[in-house]
Amino acid sequence: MWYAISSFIVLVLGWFFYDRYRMGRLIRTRGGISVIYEKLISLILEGDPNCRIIKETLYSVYLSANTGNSMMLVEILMAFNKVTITHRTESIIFGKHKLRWEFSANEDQEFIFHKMNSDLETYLKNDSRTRLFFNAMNDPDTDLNV
Amino acid sequence: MFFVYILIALLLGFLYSLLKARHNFKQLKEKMNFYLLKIDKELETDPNDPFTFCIRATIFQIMQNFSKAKEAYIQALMLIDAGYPLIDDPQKIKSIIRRNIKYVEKPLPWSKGPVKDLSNSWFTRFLIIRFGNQRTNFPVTKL
Repeated sequence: MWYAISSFIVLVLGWFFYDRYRMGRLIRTRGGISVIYEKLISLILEGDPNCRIIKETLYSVYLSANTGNSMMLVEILMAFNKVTITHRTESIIFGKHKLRWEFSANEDQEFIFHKMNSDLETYLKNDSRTRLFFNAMNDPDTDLNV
Repeated sequence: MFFVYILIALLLGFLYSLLKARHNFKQLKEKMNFYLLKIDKELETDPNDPFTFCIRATIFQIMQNFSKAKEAYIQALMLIDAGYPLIDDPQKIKSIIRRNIKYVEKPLPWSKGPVKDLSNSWFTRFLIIRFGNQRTNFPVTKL
C-alpha cells in the first residue's frame, strides 16, 4: 500500500518538475518573460512615468512605481499555460489594495491591459476608501490644485 | 446501482460544462467588446476598407448579435463590389462572406425566423459550439 502511495507522489512530483523544466526552456527560447510580455510591459510603463522594471526571474517580472506617499507593484507570473498578474497598491491615505487576474498565456496583451484598467476603475469606484477621491478626479468641476 | 452512479456522473459532467460555457461566454463577450472598440477606431481612419467590415461582422457573429453581423457583411460585400482594394482574392472573400451570411441567418440547424440578436444567450453559444452550422471567422486578433 505504502509503495503505491509513495510511487504516486513521486510520479506527481516528477511530472510537476518536468513540466516546470519544459516551461523554463520555452521561456528561455522565446527570449525571457520580459520579451514574451513586451507589449503588456510597455503599456504599463507608458501609463506611469515613475514605473520601471525592478526584478526579473525566469518565470516572473516585477514592475514598480514609487512616489514617496504611494507605491504600486505589478507582478507578471507565468505558470504553465497561464499568466497571473497581481496588482498591489499601498498608500498612506488609501491603504493597501490587491487585485489579481489570470489569463491564458497567449492572451492578447492589449486586451489584458484593457481588462486590468477597466477592473481597476470599477474597483476604485466601489471601494469605500478610494471612491470619494476617484469621483473627485472624474468630476470636471473639481479643482484638485486647490 | 452501478448505472445510477454513471448517470449521476454524466449529469454532473453536463452541469459542469453548462457552468463553464456560461463563464466562458461572459469572458468572450468582454473580449469582443474590446475588439469592437478597436475596430471602430480602425474604421474611423479608413471607413471604406471591406476587410475591416468583415472583421467587424465576425466580432458581432462571435457575440451572437446576428442582425448586426449580417449588416456588416452586406456592407463589406457592397464595398468589394464597388471595387475597394483587398489584399486577398476578392472572390474568395466574397464566398466566405456569403457562407457567413447564411450562417448568421441560420446559426443552428433548427433555427427559424428572422435574424436575431442572441448576444445575451450563453446557452446558444453552448449549442453553436456543438451543433452550429459552418462558418469562418475573419482574424479578429490580427487587428
